[in-house]
Amino acid sequence: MKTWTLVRAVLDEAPRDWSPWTELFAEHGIEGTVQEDNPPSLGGYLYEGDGVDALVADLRAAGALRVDTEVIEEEDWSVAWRKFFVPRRVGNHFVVRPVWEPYELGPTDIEIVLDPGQAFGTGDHPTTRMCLELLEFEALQGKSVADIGCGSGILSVGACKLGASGVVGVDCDAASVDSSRENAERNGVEFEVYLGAGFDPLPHGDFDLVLSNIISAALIRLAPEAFSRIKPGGVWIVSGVIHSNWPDVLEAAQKCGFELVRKQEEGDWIAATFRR
Amino acid sequence: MAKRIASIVKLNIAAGKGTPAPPVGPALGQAGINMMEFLKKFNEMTTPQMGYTLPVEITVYEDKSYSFVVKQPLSSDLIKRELGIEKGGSHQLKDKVATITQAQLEAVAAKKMADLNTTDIKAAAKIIAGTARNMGITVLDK
Repeated sequence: MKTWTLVRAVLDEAPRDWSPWTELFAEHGIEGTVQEDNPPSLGGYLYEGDGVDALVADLRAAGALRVDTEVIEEEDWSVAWRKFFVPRRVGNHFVVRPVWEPYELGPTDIEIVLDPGQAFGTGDHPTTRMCLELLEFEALQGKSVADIGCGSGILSVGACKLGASGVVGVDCDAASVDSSRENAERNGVEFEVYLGAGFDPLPHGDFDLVLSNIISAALIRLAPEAFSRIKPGGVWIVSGVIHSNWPDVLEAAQKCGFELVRKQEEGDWIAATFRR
Repeated sequence: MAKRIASIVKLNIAAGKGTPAPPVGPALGQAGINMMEFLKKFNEMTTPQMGYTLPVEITVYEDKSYSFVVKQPLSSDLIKRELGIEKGGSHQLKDKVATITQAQLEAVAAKKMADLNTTDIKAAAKIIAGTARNMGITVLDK
C-alpha cells in the first residue's frame, strides 16, 4: 500500500500572506498545499515519507508553533469518489458502467465497463460524454484511431466497440496508462497504450480519427501535429474546452486547415468534430 | 433557502495541473465531493495561468454539491514573475537573491489586492514587502 506523509505547520496566528510558507513547501518539492483556519496551519504531502525530517526542521526554523506529521494510506481517499460513478446511458447506444455496478443491456446497447482507478474519464463528465456522442456519428469500421490523453481509456474502448481496428492511446500519466490497459482487457478489446505527450510516443503512420479530450492549451499546441497525422478527410474530435477558451481552440484548428463540422455543448463545456 | 455549508476546503494547486494525488485527493475525498469533476474544471479554467500556483477555496454543501473560487496567484509567484527570477532564497538573511522597488511592490499588490483584505494600495504593498523580505529579496525605499 502506498503511503503519503502529511506534514502540517501550525502557526500561532494566521499570516496576512501565506506565500512565504507555501514557498517553503515548494522548496521541498511540494507544489500543492492545504490550508486550515482553526488553528491556522498549512500542510503538504510527501510520497512514501521521503524528506520528512528536512521539511519538519525547516518549518520549525521558520517559526512554526508546532509541526505535526501523519502517515496516510492512499486507499483511504482514492476510492471515496466512487459513489458518484453509476451506470449511465451515453449517446444512442453506449452504456458506461463501473465494474462494481451491474446493468441490464438492451439489444442495441454497447457496453463500456470501467474501473477508472485515479485516471480521468468515467463517462460521468460532460466532456467524456460528448466525445462518445460525437464518436457515434463517425463510421469507424476498420478505421485507425489515436486517443491523445486517453485517461481511463474509455474513448479508446468506445472506438474499438464501434469497429475501429487500429486503436492507440497515449497519456502522460503512468497510472492512466495502466488504467487504460486494464480497461481494454476488461472490455475484451485490444489497443496499445503509450506513455508520453502528444503524438511523440506513437509509431509512424497517419490516422483516420484522432480523439483529444484534454484541456484547451494542450489542444491548441497539438493542432498542427494533429493536422499532419490525420489522413485527408479524417476527423479530429476535441473536448475539454470551456466556453471562454473555445474561440482560441477554434482559431488554432482552423489556422491549421481543419474545418468545423459539428459542435456540442453541455453546461460550461464544448466538444467538437473537425474534418481535415 | 440557501444551501447549508458542510465545510470549506482551502488548497493551493498548480494552475492547469491538478491531479487526484495529495493534497487534492485526501482533502476532497474526505469532503465527499466529485473530485474528478472538480479537477477537470479547475484545470481547464486555470489554463491561462499555467506556471502559477493558485489558491482555491472550495465550499462543500451538506448535499455534497460544491462551488469553488480561484483566487489570484500566490504573492511569492507574482513577485518572482515581476522580478523575472526563478526562486527566492531559502535563507532570508544569508542570500539576497534580488531587489524590489516600491513601484514593483505596488504592481504586485494591485494584482493581489482582492485577496489581501485591504483596499489601500500602500497597505497592500507593505504586505507584499513582508513576503518579499521573507524570500530573501531586498526591499528598496523607492
